[in-house]
Amino acid sequence: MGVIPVGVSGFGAVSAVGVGVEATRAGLFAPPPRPALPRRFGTVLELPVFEIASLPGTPGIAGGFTMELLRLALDEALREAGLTEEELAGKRVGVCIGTTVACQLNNIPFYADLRAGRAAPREAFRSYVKGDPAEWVRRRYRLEGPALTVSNACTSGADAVGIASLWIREGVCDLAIAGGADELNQVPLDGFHALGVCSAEPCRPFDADRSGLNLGEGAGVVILESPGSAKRRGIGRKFIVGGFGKSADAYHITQPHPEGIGLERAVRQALESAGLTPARIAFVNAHGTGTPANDRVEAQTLARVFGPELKYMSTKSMTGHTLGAAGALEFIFCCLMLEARRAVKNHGYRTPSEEIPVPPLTEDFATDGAWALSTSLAFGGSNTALAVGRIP
Amino acid sequence: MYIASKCLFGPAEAPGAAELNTAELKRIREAYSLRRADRYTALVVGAAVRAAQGVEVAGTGTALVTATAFGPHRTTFATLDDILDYPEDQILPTRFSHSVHNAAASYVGVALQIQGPTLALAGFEDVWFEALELARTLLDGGLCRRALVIGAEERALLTEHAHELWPERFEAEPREGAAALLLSLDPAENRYGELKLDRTAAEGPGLFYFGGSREFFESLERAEAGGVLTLRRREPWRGDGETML
Repeated sequence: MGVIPVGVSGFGAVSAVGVGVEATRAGLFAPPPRPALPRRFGTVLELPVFEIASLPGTPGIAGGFTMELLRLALDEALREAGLTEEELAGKRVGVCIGTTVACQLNNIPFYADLRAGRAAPREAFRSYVKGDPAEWVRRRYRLEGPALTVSNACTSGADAVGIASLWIREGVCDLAIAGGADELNQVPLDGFHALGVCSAEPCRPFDADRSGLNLGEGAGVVILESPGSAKRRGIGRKFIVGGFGKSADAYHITQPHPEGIGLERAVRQALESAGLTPARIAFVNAHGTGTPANDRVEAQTLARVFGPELKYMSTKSMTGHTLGAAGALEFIFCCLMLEARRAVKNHGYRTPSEEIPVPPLTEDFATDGAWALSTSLAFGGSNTALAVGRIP
Repeated sequence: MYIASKCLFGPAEAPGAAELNTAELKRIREAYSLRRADRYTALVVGAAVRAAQGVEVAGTGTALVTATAFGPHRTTFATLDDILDYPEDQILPTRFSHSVHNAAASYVGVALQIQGPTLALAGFEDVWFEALELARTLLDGGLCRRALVIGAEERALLTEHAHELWPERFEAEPREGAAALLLSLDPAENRYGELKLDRTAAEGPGLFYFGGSREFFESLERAEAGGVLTLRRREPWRGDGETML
């Protein structure tokens, strides 16, 4: 039996580039937004971020802003895939959502009460439990399939898409909802600042003078479907998840392996599972956070696999690092770039670096190529690669 | 899917559980260079290394999946202590990096040199079952030859108050512990029987917040190569009249 091609029947995206796929489609090729100091929460840190000021719709669901972001992207993805609540109810549909923030009860006023022995607000605790993203989606649509919330730090969103593609490929389910969502709040901002990886300027991935990352927030959701299910529903699919590569460095709790051995394994695994040679990849949407360590290791690894013809960019200079959402959003950006037959340039890149063997794209790149690769790296030496294809 | 090895750390009422005490946690910390790691990580690493004892798990052929409801919340709260008690620009980086759910999986990876797919899962509706089903998918999909699945929950401020904050949903007595299973599709590695997963919801008391029924862990204690062990997914909490969305 051949490998089942895993189709993308719909997607939804919310980030600083755009709220909704139409806005994202336009925003990807427009001048990028500039990060600014946070407005939704108080902080003394003068670190620019890519914040989403407001969302359409009514707030107040369990899980807070992360879940509002997720709900918006989810509703859009389901609409595009032509799926309704009635159609989904009771079906064996898998749900796999990546997040970092939603897995932690980091509500500061709640904790201040709890540790002081005062009556902590029950609703904050209940909202956290109810707001486990994948379980929330399964309950909302009364689904019967697996529901996994992946909390694998910055690869979570990419992992979720990869796992859901495996479910389809292995026949666990015919339809899956996958993606990632994360809000920006004081805890990750303070934490990433403590780690010394935030830049006080707009980030400049792969630049010689890069000085760190800007945090962002957002959500990306894709609907993955088997050919049989899409045919039964009469749905056309424009993209496929061709390959999924996943490996661990087993090296360090926060630093990537200096030679990128785990990343290289994930990239080669994704290519192999898609049946592709490196030459078939038109461009790579790299993790490219703008930190010295990540960009050095990633650029050197990609150059080793793809050679001097490598075309790549990081879109984090347009969205910031959206943590658990990043991998899912960047997968969707790959789809939109393949659709537009144009890969966006690496905004913020100015100065070549000796340690970056092949420079990223300095201009938008026209391409008829059918395949792109999205890479994600995370704390703990987690590496993920997704091969995404445009169906002719 | 066969059980190649197993480990259960837990409270006295957990069938066949190795005792989890301060001395054991200290031994784990010293043996695996966990000086900076938190209690949750020590639980996960301790269960993993016991389950992997005598089996060659190093390299790319082993997948690693962790499952928890609350995760390392002691460390999450320690980060919040820093924010509440000190200037915002002085929080400890180690605390923040260890509050991320996959830090424990990373420590296991380093301790056992596991380089295959490594995934940290979080959930309140039997994430143990979901993790084992994911292991099955990874094995079936050829992403690994073995899968090491570890469920863990630590006892700390949040789990101690969970019942008070939601009495209908969380039991009065949170149980701290960890369970680990090393799984394989190779019949030659079958030491404790075949594990079957049944998504038909099961009633009955659970043992840990991460999932798995008491009945399952009792059967696991008695498991032998010739047997079949079936894990049914625990019935998800339906809200008892409270909206769950």
